[in-house]
Amino acid sequence: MKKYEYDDEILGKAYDGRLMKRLMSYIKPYKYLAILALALTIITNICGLLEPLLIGYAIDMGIRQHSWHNLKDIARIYLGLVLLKILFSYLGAYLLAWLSTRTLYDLRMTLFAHLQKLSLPFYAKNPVGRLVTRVISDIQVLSDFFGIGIIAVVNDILMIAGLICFILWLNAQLALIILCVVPVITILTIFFKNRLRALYREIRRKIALINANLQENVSGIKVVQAFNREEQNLEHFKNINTDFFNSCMKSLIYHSIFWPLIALLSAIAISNIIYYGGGQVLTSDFEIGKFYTLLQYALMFFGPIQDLTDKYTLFQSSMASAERIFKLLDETPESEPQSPIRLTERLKGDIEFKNVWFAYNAENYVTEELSFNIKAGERVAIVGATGAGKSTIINLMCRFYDPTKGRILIDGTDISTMPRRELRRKLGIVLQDVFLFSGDIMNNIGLGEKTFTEAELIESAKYVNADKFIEQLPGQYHAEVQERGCTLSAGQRQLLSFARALAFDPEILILDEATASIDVETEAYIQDAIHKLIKGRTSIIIAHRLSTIQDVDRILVMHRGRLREEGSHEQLIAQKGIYYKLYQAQFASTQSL
Amino acid sequence: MFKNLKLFYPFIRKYKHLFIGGFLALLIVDLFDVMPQLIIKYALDELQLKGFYPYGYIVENLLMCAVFYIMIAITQDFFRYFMRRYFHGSGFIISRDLKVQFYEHIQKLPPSFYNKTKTGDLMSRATADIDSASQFYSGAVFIGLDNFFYFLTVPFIMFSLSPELMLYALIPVPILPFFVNRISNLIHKKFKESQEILSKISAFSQENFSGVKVIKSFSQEQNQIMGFAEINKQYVTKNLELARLNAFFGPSLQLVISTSVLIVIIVGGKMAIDEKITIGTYAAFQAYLLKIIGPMIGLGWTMSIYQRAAASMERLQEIFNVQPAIKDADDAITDAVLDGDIEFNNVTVMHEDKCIPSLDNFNLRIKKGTTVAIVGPIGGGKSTILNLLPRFLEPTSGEITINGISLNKIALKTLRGNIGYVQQESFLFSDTISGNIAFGASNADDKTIQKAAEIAMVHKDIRDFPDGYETMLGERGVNLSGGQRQRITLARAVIKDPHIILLDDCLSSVDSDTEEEILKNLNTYLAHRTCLIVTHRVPAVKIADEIIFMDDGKIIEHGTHEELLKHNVRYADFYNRQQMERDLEKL
Repeated sequence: MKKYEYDDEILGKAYDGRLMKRLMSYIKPYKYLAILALALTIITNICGLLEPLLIGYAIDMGIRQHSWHNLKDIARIYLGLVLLKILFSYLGAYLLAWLSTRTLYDLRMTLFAHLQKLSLPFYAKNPVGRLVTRVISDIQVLSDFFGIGIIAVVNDILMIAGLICFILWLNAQLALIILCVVPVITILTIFFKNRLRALYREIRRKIALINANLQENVSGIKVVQAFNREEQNLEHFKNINTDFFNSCMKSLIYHSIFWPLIALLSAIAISNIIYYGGGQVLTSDFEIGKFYTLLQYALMFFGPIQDLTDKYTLFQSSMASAERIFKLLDETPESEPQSPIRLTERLKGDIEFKNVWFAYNAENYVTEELSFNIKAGERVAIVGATGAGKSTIINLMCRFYDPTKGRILIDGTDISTMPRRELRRKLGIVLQDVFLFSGDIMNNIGLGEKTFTEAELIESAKYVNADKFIEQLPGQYHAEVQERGCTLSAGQRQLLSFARALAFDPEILILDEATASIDVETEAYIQDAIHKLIKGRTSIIIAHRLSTIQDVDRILVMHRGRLREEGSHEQLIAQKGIYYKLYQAQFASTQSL
Repeated sequence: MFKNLKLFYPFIRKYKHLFIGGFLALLIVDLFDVMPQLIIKYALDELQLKGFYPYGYIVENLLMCAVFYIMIAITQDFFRYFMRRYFHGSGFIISRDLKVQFYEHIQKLPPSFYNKTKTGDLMSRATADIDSASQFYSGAVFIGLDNFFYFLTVPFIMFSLSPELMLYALIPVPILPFFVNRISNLIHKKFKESQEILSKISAFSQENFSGVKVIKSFSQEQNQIMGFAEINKQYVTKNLELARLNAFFGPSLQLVISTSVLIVIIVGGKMAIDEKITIGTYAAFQAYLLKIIGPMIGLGWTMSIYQRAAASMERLQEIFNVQPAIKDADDAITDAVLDGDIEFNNVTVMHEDKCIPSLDNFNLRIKKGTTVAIVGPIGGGKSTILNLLPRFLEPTSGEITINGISLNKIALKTLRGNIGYVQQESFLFSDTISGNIAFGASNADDKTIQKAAEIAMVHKDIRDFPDGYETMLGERGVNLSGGQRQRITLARAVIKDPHIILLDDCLSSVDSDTEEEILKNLNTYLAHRTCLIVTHRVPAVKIADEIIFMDDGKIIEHGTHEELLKHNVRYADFYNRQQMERDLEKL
């Protein structure tokens, strides 16, 4: 089997200056708080460093001098130190969490808002799942980076420096013993980490493989069962699962060797301190309490070194996620004209397509030389076989896509000079596949637009006959709509989308009729609703129903991306051309439905 | 709280050698772990003798301490290796076994189970729950035993050093396990709540990205951003609540620990001044305090790990307890020759949540070697007929026989082995093209694979791919067009060389010229086979010997193409419309 590397598996560098700078820009608004958090963390750690020192003093100045007074003073200082440490560590931890939560919020909002500006061609190229992963998982990865990552690294380094200072101050000679072990540990750590890094990557790849296999078997279970492949697939699964297991065991063995080895090294350092340090206590004025403190510091030394190596992996995955997020943020939004013509007044509704060519992918034109005029108030149906280019007209009018060649004018103005959002606001678009949002019916009609009153929305629903079924629902206008609208029938969803379009009071209506089969009663409501919707309004309808065709002023017949025939129903039938055949195939018998 | 404990027994029995080995290694490691503090205590006490004993004597003893220290470390680290290997290894082993068990079990469950269960739910059980359940072994058992040993040793040593000081020093400690357990459960609860909001954020973005066209049509971007901000603010609030708990956890543990340390500083110090204890004992108490506090905290964790593992194990058992609804009878026939006569006798299929039957008292006899086309509107019961034959669906009443043998008397493997079923959705696996075609015939050679691809008219397409038949499909490989997918699925069924072949509208995305070629090939291929074709298109109907027109779960018309055209009702209408569309395509 061939192996393919893929976007989500690529591991970045642990540190990338460019990405780091950009990530840091999200902390910038809170930089004083970040500095405060760092300061709190450092103070907490200094308190921690002072504890063994105090116990050492308790031995030397309290016990050995038989001074109850000194001991009480030391206990008091210890109490103060501990309380300070507890308070500061609480504040520090909370502040850090606050910073991370806040920066993630900002970053996620920035990303989402940016995605809202991206064009449909972008969405066509990027599967929904991938975008969701960016907004959810990739940002989540950064939570640890902002939360503990940066501060911890700074803190660890300061901690090591602090320990070295303290040890040197206590006894420079003994400090050398500890400092001798440090390079050995560092080299060992680097050696094992390098081995482990490759192994971890392998483990991640293998677990992804297992999950993908599992997922695939769940989705394709019917095929598996139909082809009696259960045993063989199980065998394959066992293989990849064992493979994964072996890698895990391998990493475990590395760990099982590494950790005892580090412990052994630290034991060697300690036993040396016992011997040489003890000797110094005997021969010089190096006190027992200090000796004790030094031993404790030697034991504390390995914590921050370890922590630093752990942070390496965190930095690595954070950089990879950041890279993916920034790649999305760098996508160019839908372009807006340089000096846009604002649409402040109502449109009259004259539409003109002037020699429009369009291809979704280069050279493969779906509309060619398309030219037609629609006068204000005129109702036009566009018909044609599948793939004739009908839906492209909608995409172009709404500027979801821009023509490759040619121009589209509304009221004599090129639409490419209009701000997209203002243009779309003037158009009422009813798409073939009705998309419903989770939330209630009311929300699905008004889409949460604050300017609508409930009464207005109900009125729109009534006008297009949607009230008939809405009033049957439990909770009526406040009935919850399920994801993807499973609880409503195709016809009901269609009516709901009419109500939605009407609520926004469009100046031009663009309607892509649904092809789904609809029960007789709802069908009658839909016909009536379409009739009412297009009355007195410039309307373009991609028609699949006979009654709709009969309702319009003019029919445009598209075939293979070109406008081939136009006229009234009777004229076109008389022509016995494409329309005639199309009519026979598509519309003639729908009456019987 | 421990009622689910028995769910974990089987694996302990199965891997007893691991747990016994791990237990012994852990015992030695933990016993040796209390020694270094004693050595340091001994060394400190030796140093106290400065001035009373000769220098050489003390130094010699110090050397002994240092040597002992290293020897203990070596022994301990030697066993530490086995301890880690056995205990952490048990987690990996059991998680591996659970995954296989899970996989094996769900493979036996019928499509009806999968219709009810979301893929995401199964996936989360197979990943998160298995991980968490196996932590019972590598986490709860391991940490639990570890703690237990410290409870045996540390108080004993403390007691032998100074019973009085031990009593004082341990006063604040017993509250720890309860506190840790309570807080960590609270944290877990808040964490789950925060995860729930995160999945809301996820659902919101999913909906937004899927509905992007509508959002843009109505210029709703700003409202969407506001809606998104709203849930994100909830998330911030919940996370800050969680942060407060997390931030509270460490310092409050610290408070308990420090209280003990402070008691030792004062009480122990007083005792040392009064020379009731030595400086070595004083220092050792500080160290042993940390040794006993660790396990106390660990005890709280153990409880939380156990609680989570038990909940996960329960969720896994829910799946393991689902009995396969469709399975072999005890005396299932495995050697039947199923070469073709199919009979449906009064078959009715009711759907659980619908009140209209998807198949209503359906009767049909198909003679060996016949090809039957099934046409009719969507939801008329066409696919239901096909689903019944490989027993993906069981009839609510009535009987289906092949070669006179009732379906539920035939072993599933035998039954499905004789049927080539091409589903409506062309599902392919992330494997090579040849692997996909030979899916049901793993030992097929390249020639046979190519032959099947030729019948399905996909050979030329495959040849043009960079790696030919070895091209990878799926997310990591090439993307195929709908038509190509359908043709590969067809080849996959063809290569099986079955007696009965079921085609469920499986050429809908293939262009009409290719379709005709395929049908021409199929006509020869199907000569001695029994075939049911569900279709919406005319050419496929033309290779059929008989046609049935289905609607509302019933046969509306049944006959040959000519008969039905002559009859001139539903089928004729369907046929004429199709004909017109085809004419149009040719314009």
